Amino acid sequence: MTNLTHGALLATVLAALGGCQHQAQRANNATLEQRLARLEAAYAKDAEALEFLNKVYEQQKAQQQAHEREEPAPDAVFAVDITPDVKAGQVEGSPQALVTIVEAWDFA
Amino acid sequence: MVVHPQVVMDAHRAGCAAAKQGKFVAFKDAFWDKAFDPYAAAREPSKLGVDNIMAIAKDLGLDTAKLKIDMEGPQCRAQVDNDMSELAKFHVSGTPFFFINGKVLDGAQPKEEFKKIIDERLKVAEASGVSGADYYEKEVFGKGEKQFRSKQDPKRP
Repeated sequence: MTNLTHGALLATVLAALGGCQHQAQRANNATLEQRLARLEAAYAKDAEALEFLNKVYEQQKAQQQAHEREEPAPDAVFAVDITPDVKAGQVEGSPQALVTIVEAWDFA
Repeated sequence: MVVHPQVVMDAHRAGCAAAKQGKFVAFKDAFWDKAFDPYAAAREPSKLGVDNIMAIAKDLGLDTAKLKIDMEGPQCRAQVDNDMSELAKFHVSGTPFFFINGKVLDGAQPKEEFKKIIDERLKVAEASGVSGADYYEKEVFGKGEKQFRSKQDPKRP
């Protein structure tokens, strides 16, 4: 082979190699883009789930707080007015008793 | 306390009317046995109705004509309404619910829970030196909190 033929062959090989590298780079880039897209999709999904969980947590917290607002203070002594009921005779037990139990009940 | 007015308002007013004849406790006990229990067994609302109330009252020797008039009269209506308003003030929204010398016991609790609070309140009452006849009026109603306070609220001075 002549030098010219060698040169042409080398140029062809180099061109082919260059093309392969370019294709591999493109393939790599495509993979990265796909991976990034997948990661972004997964992140968006997680963010959505996290937002939902946060909402549930806030709701439960609000419910708990509402429940606690309705729970009487454990140290409270409440002054329930029983005078009308006692006067009306809706009472049982000794009037000398040191402990009075006010009962709230319903017949159903 | 009336949680189910559509079915038991008559019974509560009848309790008030029975008290006017000195038989509140007898009526209340008989109503549980002869009205509530059969009602609960068969879910039959008529067991809580006026006809059965009158039958129970008759068995107890109450003057049923007077009972009916008193039940429907303004005093017993006001009495039941006042009881409900008083309990609502302290955020009572369900039954059974108890105040033991002003201390809350909510729900159908075991006897031990009642005993614990009763013993504790009895000690406080005994230490006060106030007689039983005056204790509730002076110490519980007189010094107790006039409004509901939740566990989240600070104690008022």
